Amino acid sequence: MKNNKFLHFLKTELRTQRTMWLIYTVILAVLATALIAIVSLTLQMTDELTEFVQGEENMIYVSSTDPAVFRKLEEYPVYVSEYFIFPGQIEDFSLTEEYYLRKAGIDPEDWYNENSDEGEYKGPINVPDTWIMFSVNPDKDIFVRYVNDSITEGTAIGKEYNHVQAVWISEDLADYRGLAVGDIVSIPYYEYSGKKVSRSSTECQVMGIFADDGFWSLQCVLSYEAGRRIIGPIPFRIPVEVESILDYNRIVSELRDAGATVTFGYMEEDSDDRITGYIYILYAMFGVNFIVLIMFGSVLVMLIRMYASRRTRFFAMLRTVGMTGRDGTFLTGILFAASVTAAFVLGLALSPIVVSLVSKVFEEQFIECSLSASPFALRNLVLYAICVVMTALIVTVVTRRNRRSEIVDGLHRDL
Amino acid sequence: MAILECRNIKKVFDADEAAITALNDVSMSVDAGEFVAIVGRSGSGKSTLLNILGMLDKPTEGEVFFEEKNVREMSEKERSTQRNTSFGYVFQSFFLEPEYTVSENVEMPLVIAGMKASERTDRVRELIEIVGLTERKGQKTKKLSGGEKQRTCIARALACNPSIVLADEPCGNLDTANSAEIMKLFREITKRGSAVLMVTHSEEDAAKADRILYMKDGSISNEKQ
Repeated sequence: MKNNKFLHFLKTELRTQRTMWLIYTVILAVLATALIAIVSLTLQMTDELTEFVQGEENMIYVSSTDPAVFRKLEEYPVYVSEYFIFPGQIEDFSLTEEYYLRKAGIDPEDWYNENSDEGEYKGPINVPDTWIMFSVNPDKDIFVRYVNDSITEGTAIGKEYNHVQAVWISEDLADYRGLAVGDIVSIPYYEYSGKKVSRSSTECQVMGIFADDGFWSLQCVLSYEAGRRIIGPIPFRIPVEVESILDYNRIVSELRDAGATVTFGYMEEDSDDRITGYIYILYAMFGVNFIVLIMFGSVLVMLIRMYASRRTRFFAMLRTVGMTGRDGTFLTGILFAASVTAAFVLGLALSPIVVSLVSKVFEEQFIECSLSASPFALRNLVLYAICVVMTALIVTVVTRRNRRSEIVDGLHRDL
Repeated sequence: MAILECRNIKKVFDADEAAITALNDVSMSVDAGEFVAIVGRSGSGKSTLLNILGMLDKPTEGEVFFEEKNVREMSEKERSTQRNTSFGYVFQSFFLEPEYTVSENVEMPLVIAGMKASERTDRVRELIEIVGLTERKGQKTKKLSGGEKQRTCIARALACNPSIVLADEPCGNLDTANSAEIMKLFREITKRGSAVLMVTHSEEDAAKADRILYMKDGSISNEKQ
């Protein structure tokens, strides 16, 4: 019965006051169109700009010999695909075999004497002639990434890298992974065949744990049955994809403060300015969103106040014949919810045109990416739900005075 | 038995700087089926009294009893229900919805009462017939004459078979012929068992009532059978 009552007055009111409701709905529809368009554009622009920047411009390269710098990356919303050695730096950082053995806690003299056949350096643990320093991803497997195959091409390393049989690891890495001497670890590696890269793994035993001074932290030393060659520790140069350009400047700044050398991927000196420019555009869009939402709310308040004022006597008369003030508020709420719904339906229909036009301007004037915002998205329904809740709240607040006043005051308003 | 009674009613309106006492220690009652007229000049407080008795306004002091229940102790919902089912209101300014038809205006209390649509249609037809507006039932009330508007108002007041009809200057905007028609309708209403409490400045209209109360300066100054 209650529903019938409201439905009856809803229909009657919309019919008898159709001109007024048409004007109200058109006003709200214009604002709803603007709201849907600007929200769609902003969210879509955020997505696409982020993707665009991630794809081409959010790549930074972090170089450091301090593993703490790379651990710091875990604190940031970034994607680190893998660690790898920057091949161009190999020669500069090559170390001698003696240094390497000393870092591993082995006296080179003993090593040679005890583990060498004549003319060769073959160890009891199948230790190789060659040591190589490999990078490690401490979060996953002990991960081996070979230096660029152009460096090792034609060498024993390049040909026999899958003959890993033993590994020496740093104290940090042992602690981090809970490893001890004698443990068998799986060492993944890549195999290169022309441009094709496949991933394999081999097992090897942890043969030793060496003390480190931080420089070797979280790293391992692999032994190879390969030709004599020593490649020492090399500062890592890690490609990092910053997930959101909103964090871009902060991350770069903090990494630089931590002592890392940060260079940019596809952008050079002007990268900061360009990223900042994009961020400003997004902030401006967020601002416009806020302004349009405020405008929508303000106009809604104004229309409800106008309606409540214009129909004060009508609602007083309804109260005279038995409607409660609360029911009157509810009826006003239904009427405006219906109007807002109609406005949003119109807004959904019209906003693609606005989105299309604004996208075109953006593409031509501001950013070199395509915006294809669809107004028919779940977020627009969420937006509509928010606006309906807002409508209910505004109606409740705005009509409070009328609801609490005596009926006779409403009846004689402006008489 | 008094269905509507007020005791020591006082009503003070707060103007900008001075308080205006519209009613001062007013007590009266209306019995079931009785036709009572309150006569007084403009500003004597008779409309204010009617609004308070009809639960459209609240007194500053004093108590109103409807069917022996103190109105002050009723909830807003209870008062609304009483206004819907036990009271009928007829105003000098009609207070009809101008864009609604005669039928839609008369139907309002029945919709709020939750009556089914089919029953409403029958009841509205009956009410419109009582007030003699059958030919005009589909007409918007803004196009009606003053007398027709007032009869629509009376039909609406009678919709839920009220215990009492409160009429505030019902003939104030009507000519003599229409006034006579309205007074005749009020008499018929009392014959159906409803009481009528009418405020008017017209001694002639008041003479049609069973009992007349005189108001002056916010007080009931005289009463004659």
